[in-house]
Amino acid sequence: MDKEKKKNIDKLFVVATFDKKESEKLAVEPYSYWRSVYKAFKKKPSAIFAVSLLVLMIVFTVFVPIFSPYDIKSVYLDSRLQEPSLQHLFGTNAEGRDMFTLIWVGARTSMVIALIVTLINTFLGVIIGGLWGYFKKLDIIMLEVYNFIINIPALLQYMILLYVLGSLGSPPEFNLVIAMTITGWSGLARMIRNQILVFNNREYNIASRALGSSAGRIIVNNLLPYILSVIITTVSLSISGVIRTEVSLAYFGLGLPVDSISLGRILRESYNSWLATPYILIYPAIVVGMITIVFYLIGLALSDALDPRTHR
Amino acid sequence: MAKEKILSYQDIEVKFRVRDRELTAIRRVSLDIYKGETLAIVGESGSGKSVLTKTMTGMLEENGRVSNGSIIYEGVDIAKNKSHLEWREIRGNKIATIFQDPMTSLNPLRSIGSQITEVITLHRGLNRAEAKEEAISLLAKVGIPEPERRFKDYPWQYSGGMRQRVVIAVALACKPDILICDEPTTALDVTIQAQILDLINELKKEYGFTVVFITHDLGVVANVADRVAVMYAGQIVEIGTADEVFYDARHPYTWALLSSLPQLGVGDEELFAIHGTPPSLFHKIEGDAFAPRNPLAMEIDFVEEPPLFKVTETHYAKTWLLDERAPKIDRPAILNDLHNKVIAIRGELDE
Amino acid sequence: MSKREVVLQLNNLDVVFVHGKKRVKAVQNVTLHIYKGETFGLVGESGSGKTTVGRAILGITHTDGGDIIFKGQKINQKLPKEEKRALKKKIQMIFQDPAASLNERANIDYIVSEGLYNFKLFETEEDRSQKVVNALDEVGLLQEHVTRYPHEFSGGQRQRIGIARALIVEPELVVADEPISALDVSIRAQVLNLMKKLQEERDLTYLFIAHDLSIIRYISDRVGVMHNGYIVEMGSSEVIYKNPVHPYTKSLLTAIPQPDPISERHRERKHYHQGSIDYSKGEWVEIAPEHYVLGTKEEIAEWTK
Repeated sequence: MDKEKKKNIDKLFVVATFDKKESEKLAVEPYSYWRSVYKAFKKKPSAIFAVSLLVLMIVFTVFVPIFSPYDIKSVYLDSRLQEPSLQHLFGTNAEGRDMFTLIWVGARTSMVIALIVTLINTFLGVIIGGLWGYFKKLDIIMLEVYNFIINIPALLQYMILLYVLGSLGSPPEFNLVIAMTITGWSGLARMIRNQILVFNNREYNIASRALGSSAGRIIVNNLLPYILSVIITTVSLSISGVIRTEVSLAYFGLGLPVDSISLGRILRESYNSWLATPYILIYPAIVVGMITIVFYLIGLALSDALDPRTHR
Repeated sequence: MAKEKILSYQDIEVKFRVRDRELTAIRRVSLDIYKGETLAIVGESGSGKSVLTKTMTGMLEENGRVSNGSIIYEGVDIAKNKSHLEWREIRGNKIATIFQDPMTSLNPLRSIGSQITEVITLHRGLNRAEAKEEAISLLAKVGIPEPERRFKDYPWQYSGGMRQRVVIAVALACKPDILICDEPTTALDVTIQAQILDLINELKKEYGFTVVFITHDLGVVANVADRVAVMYAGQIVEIGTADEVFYDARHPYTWALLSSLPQLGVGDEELFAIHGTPPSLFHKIEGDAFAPRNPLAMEIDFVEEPPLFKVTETHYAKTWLLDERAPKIDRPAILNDLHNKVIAIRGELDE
Repeated sequence: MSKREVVLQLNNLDVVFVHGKKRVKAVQNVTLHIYKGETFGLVGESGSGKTTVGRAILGITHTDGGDIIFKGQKINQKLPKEEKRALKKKIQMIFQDPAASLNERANIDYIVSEGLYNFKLFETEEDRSQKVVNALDEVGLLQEHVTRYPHEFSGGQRQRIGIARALIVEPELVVADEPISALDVSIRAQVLNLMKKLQEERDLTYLFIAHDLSIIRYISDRVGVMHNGYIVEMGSSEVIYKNPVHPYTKSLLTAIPQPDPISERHRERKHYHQGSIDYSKGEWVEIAPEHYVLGTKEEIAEWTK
């Protein structure tokens, strides 16, 4: 056996053939950044939980208003302020209206406004922030503008703007959106500007400039993918932030009018009677809290998933 | 040259846990280091040269471990050291390391003088005044002008070369037995590099320590080394005196490294280039690790790993080419007469 | 002997960087010329200004004085957009760090096509795709690599992608800024050979910036030595390495350790102290055909004794 093995091994002492192209083949399997982001996101339990909850809430906001047997416009004096029961899952309010229906109708309004405001602010923030960070000459002007904006307390800003806009006669939802987007983009813009300053001088951007790439191409292809993490976290926090702002404004009687239904208005109404019937405050507050947490968790999970260092 | 062994690696294997896979960075290395010599370890990145020396001072990263073999120093197998205290005895005291980047090797918040005295008081038990005196004399030895004044300086005030001198002073503060130099001049300018290499050589003559010098630059190797160990894919593939490895190399990888030296390039011809990339150390390697990139590889190189063959008492190479059954393959012609070729380049410079 | 065409001429070039109150003179009064089809090696240690020169030529860095003349036209001045565009196409750069010079979030197809998009160098989508495949093939990479991302490749491969990206727009002058310094020693030869091959095929002119003198000696036809922002000596590779005149060049050359143990053991080093030499007083003198040195009359007389 040993002699056989030795003879066979002896045969192996000849020069083997050599393939140059073979050595260029990549050992690793193809890696797609975006696919890995998706996989990393799916793996997180917090993400799955948050997304499921979000889907549930959206289902409620869509279907409850349509299918609810309760009328929330009229007043029902004999069903006022009832405790939560099987008939009224969240109880009834001071006008006898079903809280469950009210809350999800309100949630729909609040979320739609939050989405619109966030979309506009993100759009403006990215564009303004991108140009701000990329063009040095803009930087000096924008820094002054930003410092001015940031020194005015937000709530005060909204109140003044709403007051001014209110006199224009435009629909109150429109006014609210305008008030929150006139300067709402500034935080994101500043963050993006900072990130661009960090990335702009990296060698791959200098290379792109040497290849004749325009500012637009560089911002979109070279810078934004790296800034996505910042953008997404801001977006998720923004959605919850807008809802909370609406609630705060409603406390002051600003924002949406008395007859419209939003989470802010529902909470505002509950301040009158919550001591005796606490559920009027608790349930809407829980829903506001849930929305905030859900978007926050999603934003956090996405932000992590976008970091290539966490992939596999 | 004294032939007394100061440290001995025996069949060392080092593994790292990376996410959910295991990487074998050192694949069974045996190496004797002799007192008073300068041993150069050459190899490309990923060859394991840094990892090997880190095992000497217990400075492997969190996810690394010595999975086989022993490291015998002063009669003890230090690979078995587990505790901080055991390593403290050795690290910085008996075996000191100089790293590549002087910018991050020094504490930016402390004066250079105090960084030296800290080591002295820690390991040699001198009091503050004595330690300060020692530190000042060390600074002078490494060529820092006006050391009494400079004692209070901070690292940020210094250039790369000066900082590296301070790093050397810190390393020598305890009169170590072994000084590990891990690419100490790679980040420095050529003229500064020359000064630092000269400094290390002078100090070695004066203090008599042993030097283990890691580099990828063969010029530096020729300048500092008594012996050279060539590493590839976690193994030592060739080891011998500097003269033996440069003028009588036997392993195809060493041939390839030497052949691709730009000094051997002739104006209009292509430089010799090694194709492909080193193998992944995550998978078990069959046969000779260099085979896929070696145009002179034989069938057997893909099947079985070659043992270390002896060329002389001091010269060994891990290649089947040295087996008696192998066809006679001479080293590439370009490597013949290396000495004269290099001299020819220099022209009338060395007067 | 036919007059060789000068592709690039630098005359008394100055570049100053201002950081708050500090003014750093990165490039001072640099004059040099590069002939068509040659490789000009610009060598110097850190702080010499060699990288700044490269970037100034590309227009990435501003200039504060002097001229950069490309094929007879001064390019470091305000030019109409179209002209600037056309210029960019003709002068390209290969960068030092293969890890940092490629956009990690873009795939190879986009990275190599970037120049094609910017200069509209293709007719149809197929045309563009084919050009990319050809470019990759020329640098020894495979077609299947177009969908991959930079981090999946080795340093040497990434550098070749960088070369493909620069050369696909068919430039005439290529500034290579330390293109092999960040690569492993065994990979450097690959990239150098590639650059040489492409130079011959396309009649390219290279400005090769490096600090490694051995590499410069092998790849360059003519060499310029820079120190502290000044160019102190310029001449053919042969002359600079065998017959250097300026003391700095001499000390630079003797400082390199050579891969030859016998000669290294007997080495004598010439240490250089700039102390006594004021570069600003020196003139740029042609002491022999195509051999220039920076110095005063007295200094040069002393050095050429």
